[in-house]
Amino acid sequence: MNGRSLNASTTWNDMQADMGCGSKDALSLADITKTFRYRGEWYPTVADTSLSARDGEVVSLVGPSGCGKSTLLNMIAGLVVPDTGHIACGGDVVRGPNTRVGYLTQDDALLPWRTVRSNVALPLEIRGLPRSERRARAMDILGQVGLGGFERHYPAQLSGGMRKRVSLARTLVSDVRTLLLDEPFGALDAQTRVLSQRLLTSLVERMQLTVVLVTHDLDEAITLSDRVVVLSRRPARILDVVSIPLARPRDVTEKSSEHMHLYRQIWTTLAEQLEVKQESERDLGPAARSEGE
Amino acid sequence: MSALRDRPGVASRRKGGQATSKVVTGDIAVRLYQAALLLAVPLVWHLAGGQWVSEDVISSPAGVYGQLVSWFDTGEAVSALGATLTAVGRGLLLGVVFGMLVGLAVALAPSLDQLVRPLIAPLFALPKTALMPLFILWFGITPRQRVVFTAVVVFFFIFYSVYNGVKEVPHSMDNAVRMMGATRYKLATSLYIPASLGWLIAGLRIAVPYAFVATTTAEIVASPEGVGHLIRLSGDLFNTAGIFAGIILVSVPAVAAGTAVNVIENRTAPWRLQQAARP
Ligand SMILES: Nc1ncnc2c1ncn2[C@@H]1O[C@H](COP(=O)(O)OP(=O)(O)OP(=O)(O)O)[C@@H](O)[C@H]1O
Ligand SMILES: [Mg+2]
Repeated sequence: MNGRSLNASTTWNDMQADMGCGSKDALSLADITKTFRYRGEWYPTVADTSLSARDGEVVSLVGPSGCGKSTLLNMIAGLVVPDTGHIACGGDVVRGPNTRVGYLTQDDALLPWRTVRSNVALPLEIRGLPRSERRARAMDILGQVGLGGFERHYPAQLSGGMRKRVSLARTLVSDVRTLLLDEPFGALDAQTRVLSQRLLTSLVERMQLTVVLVTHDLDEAITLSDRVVVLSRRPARILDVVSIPLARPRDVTEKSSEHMHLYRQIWTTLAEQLEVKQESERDLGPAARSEGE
Repeated sequence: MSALRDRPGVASRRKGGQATSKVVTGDIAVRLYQAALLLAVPLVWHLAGGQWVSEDVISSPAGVYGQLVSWFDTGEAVSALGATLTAVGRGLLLGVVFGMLVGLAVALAPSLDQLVRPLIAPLFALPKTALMPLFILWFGITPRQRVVFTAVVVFFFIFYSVYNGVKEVPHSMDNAVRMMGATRYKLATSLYIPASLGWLIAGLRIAVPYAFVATTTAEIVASPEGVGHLIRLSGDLFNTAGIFAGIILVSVPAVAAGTAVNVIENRTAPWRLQQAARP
């Protein structure tokens, strides 16, 4: 186990070294740390994390709940400022809200008083595009996410999966090259999830997007990604970077033995983190124990 | 009693948006009870007058009706209503405009927020009626004084709604709009102002009836005109029928205005109704 993760991190370092200048990366994070302070206590959340994604690459982040995955995405999005290190996107250092990335948060954040179309057109409205162009582009992208015919609905009238797609359309409409997806399909039922994953794959391929995907679903991570980054529990550090050499097109519903092998590799690293966490919770006393079991 | 009468009405209106068919039978029964209650009130009133309670105390439906007719004949009703409605309307306009502007400004400017926040709660809790002598001192017994008093009452309700509306905007929405490259101005116009509009209407729901309360109170305290003045005058003359007639005269437009706010709310926020209709 130890040997494998060491091996993988060597690969990771090689890859880092390979890229040298880093200018080819769509995205690069160097030595990022973040500690939150809450009610006088310090909570180290991200520790010494370096990460990069090449143009058109899909990188997944997996790790225990609360380990700092969303915080990492927030920092790439420019919504949270790292304590140390720097983040570059398309060669530019990220300062303030990063308009070069589309960020699909865990919460869909659609504006409830706007129709689907007007939600999707909002980024273009903010950029001051003329109304006719806004409409045309919103309609086009809504068609691509399979929501043609729903443009006049309000978010409250849609299902969770549809709202996620509206939100996706809203991030894609402004021609971003990089997507940050935070558990985009976590709350969906199994069938809808598979369909959404297929949709995402086809969009990513068609639009040549660079994607950072946070997920708890290892099958999803393996199927969609070029690399899977396994994070430790809080504070998040990189434990392992697993390249996914599976041939494309892939489909979640067809798991090859190679897929299963990768799954086990990732799961073993991840499970260690979960186990340690459970033990430390057990130490808390009988209340925590009864809850844990 | 009025609470009893209101509750089923509110419930049926809420359900009314989408799932009308399911509640129709229940609705009809409720409507019948409401109608019965509405008829029972003057009937009991009529029977009670002179029997159980002196007519000097509660007057009678016939007496009130007679008073109303005579006020309309002399033109007093129309001129009183005109004065009251003008004050209510101007007070509302002023209060809403300032409440909205100040509410947005305070909520959106952190430095202003810090400065003003400790003052908000005490000012809101302050009984505004206590300010009336001050306003009389400043403005005299004039229409302006009554308008300003009404505006102050309205201001606080609207200010509070808009302020809270802005504070309630989820962080995730703020982030999403910022990431589209929105400037502070765009953030306000595309997120915070529309978000607070829904709350403005909620504020109006309370502010409109209270505008009537404020103007009428100001007129009862000191005014040579308006429905409040008629009520005060009737009281001075021990004319119980006149008091009741005045109350009815001012209640009709107050209720109508309240209904208008509901209609506006349903028109301007279709998304909200649909949201409410979801289980
Ligand atoms: N603004 C903040 N202030 C204080 N603590 C924060 C803040 N944001 C996040 N945290 C803390 O940082 C830790 C990591 O949070 P984060 O949302 O990044 O986890 P996550 O890996 O996305 O978890 P999940 O998989 O459950 O979504 C949590 O313990 C959280 O409480
Ligand atoms: Mg998260």
